Amino acid sequence: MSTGDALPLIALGVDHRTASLAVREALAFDEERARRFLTEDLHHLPERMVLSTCNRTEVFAVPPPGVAEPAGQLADLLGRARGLDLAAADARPSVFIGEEAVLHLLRVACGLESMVLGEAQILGQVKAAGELAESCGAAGPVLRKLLETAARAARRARAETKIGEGAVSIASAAVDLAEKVFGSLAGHSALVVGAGETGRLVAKHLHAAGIGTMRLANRTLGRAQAVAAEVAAEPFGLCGVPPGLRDSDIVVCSTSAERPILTREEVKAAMRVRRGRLLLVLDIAVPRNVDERAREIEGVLLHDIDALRSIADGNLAIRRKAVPKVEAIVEEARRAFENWRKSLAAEPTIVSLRRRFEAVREEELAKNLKRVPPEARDAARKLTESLVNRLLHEPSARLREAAGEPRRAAEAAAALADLFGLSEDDRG
Amino acid sequence: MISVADALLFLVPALYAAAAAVSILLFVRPESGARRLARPLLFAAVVAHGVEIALRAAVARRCPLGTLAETTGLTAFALAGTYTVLSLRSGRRPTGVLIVPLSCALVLAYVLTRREAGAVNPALASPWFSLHAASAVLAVAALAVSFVHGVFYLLLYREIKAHRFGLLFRRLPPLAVLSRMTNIAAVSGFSFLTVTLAAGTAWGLRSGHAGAMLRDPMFLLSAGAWLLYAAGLAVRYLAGFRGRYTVLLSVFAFSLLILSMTAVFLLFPALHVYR
Repeated sequence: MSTGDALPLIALGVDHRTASLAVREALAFDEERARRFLTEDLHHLPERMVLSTCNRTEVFAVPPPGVAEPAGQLADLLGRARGLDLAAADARPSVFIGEEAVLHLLRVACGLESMVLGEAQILGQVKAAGELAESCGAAGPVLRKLLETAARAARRARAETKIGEGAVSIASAAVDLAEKVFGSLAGHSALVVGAGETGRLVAKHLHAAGIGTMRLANRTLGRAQAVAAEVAAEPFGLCGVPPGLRDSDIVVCSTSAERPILTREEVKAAMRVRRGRLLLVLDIAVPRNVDERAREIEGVLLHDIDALRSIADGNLAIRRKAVPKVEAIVEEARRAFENWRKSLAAEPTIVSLRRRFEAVREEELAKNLKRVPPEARDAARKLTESLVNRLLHEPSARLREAAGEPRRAAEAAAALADLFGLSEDDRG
Repeated sequence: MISVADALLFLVPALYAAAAAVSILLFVRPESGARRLARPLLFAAVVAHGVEIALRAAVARRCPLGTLAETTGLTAFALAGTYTVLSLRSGRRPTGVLIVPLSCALVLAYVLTRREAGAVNPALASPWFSLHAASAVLAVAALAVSFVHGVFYLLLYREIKAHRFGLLFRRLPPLAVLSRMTNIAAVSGFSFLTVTLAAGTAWGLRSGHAGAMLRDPMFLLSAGAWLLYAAGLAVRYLAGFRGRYTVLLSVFAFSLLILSMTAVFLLFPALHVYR
């Protein structure tokens, strides 16, 4: 890899800002397709990686030297691999080149480019993309270092800022609220009423949060069974809802019923049996499914969609405030990556210097080892290794440091070559 | 031993002050890096304070409750110690924002006033009286911790019920955790209060103060608070009731206890003095 020139890295792809859902769907890769894309379509590129999530499909690649219009070629390959004519679909992929591509991946990993600002899954998805590239033999030094830098920056962003604060969707706000009431959900039970998309989403979040037991009620039992199977819940019909209140701690209502399916009296009757145990009722249906007056009952915490939205909005505002801090972390990471890349210019001299020292070490060992008792020879070898490492540590570090300044680096390399008799060939 | 205890008199308030500062900081900025220091600092403060109390008790050969200053110091230790043990259950959201600074203030009061101590109560020579006094301090401390967590529970419950998701919603642990902490501290406090009343009665009967005790408003109101706690715990653990009312009962019982103590000390200071 040439290190003195601009970084030969390209990032090309679409996300929720640049492409419609239809285009994103068409360009999405599952693991098997991504593997084929990396090993067949892109095999001529020294380093390549595919990041495909719900909201983005992006290819990161290091093209071979001398390729004209590498971004155009990459876009063609991407479209062809997914059977989509990008021009006909009016899809214009974003292209980031060199430092911009580095910055882009860092921002993506930290959640700054996500549809839901600061979402946590993206770091895992970036890591998975790196692992897939590694398993296909498609990762190289640039991508490896970039992924490592991105992962570190993302972990710092989550630990040091509020970019991941709280829940920002209705479904996750519902689970957030349940955890604020009950703590760990492991020992608690939930009753989800309504197996539509919203009910299913909340059920999935509750399942992921480790809810102890879950029941799922729906007007049509078949639909309840289908969704219940996804979230390890027990399915049943709507007639079981009022009795279900007695032994459920969390009730989520999301049916399309025109009138309340839970009356104040039904909730009150359940609370008499519950002996003061709190009942969290999350009514996320419009029109509402639960009689509003149930909110007055002692021990009942009734929340509608507006309440959950206010939790989500509050958290989103906190995340937005954290953006400048995360951007500062991203900038630090970008500089660290840049320093690493520049330090690569010093590697040939360092390798050459090490070879020279190793040669002297081996020569001296060969000459003198026979005079050393056999039981002490290993120790002698280790001692010379350690000596060489210690002697080379400081000059290696100085050379890497100087690599950022071409003139200083060239002077240092020339001085070393002169002093230690390193040949031009040695230095690559 | 005394020189070590005197040296600890500088270290203990410093540790408490640092722990209090961290507790307040964590309430304001929960993501602060000081999170890692909170428990070790408080633990160090409690251990150092415990050593200081033990050394002085060993030298004086009596329960360290002979003076008001000593009682203040032991109360601080009991408060911080109870909270330290209980905080292991508070999860990622510490609740020491009131208790740790209060312990710190009591320790400072102890350090500043300990040399102005008056005469030591001769009744402390009796093991029953010593047990009564020491367990009373531990009971008050544990019930105070229960009270604080109970108040936190009631505030958070009110916030959630009213759909207000502000500072308390973000800073306090879940309702279930607060309820559990309130009840664990209440059970400990109730146990110490039981010992306090039993040891006090035993000492009264042996020393001929039984009649005076029956006219002692402190004794009667403490017995009333004990009954309230007993009822609350029975409702919770025997009848299986949970929720706000059991917490309210704990808060009410502690309020009664503190009001009674304050009223007796202010209005009838002579009625709870035994020698």
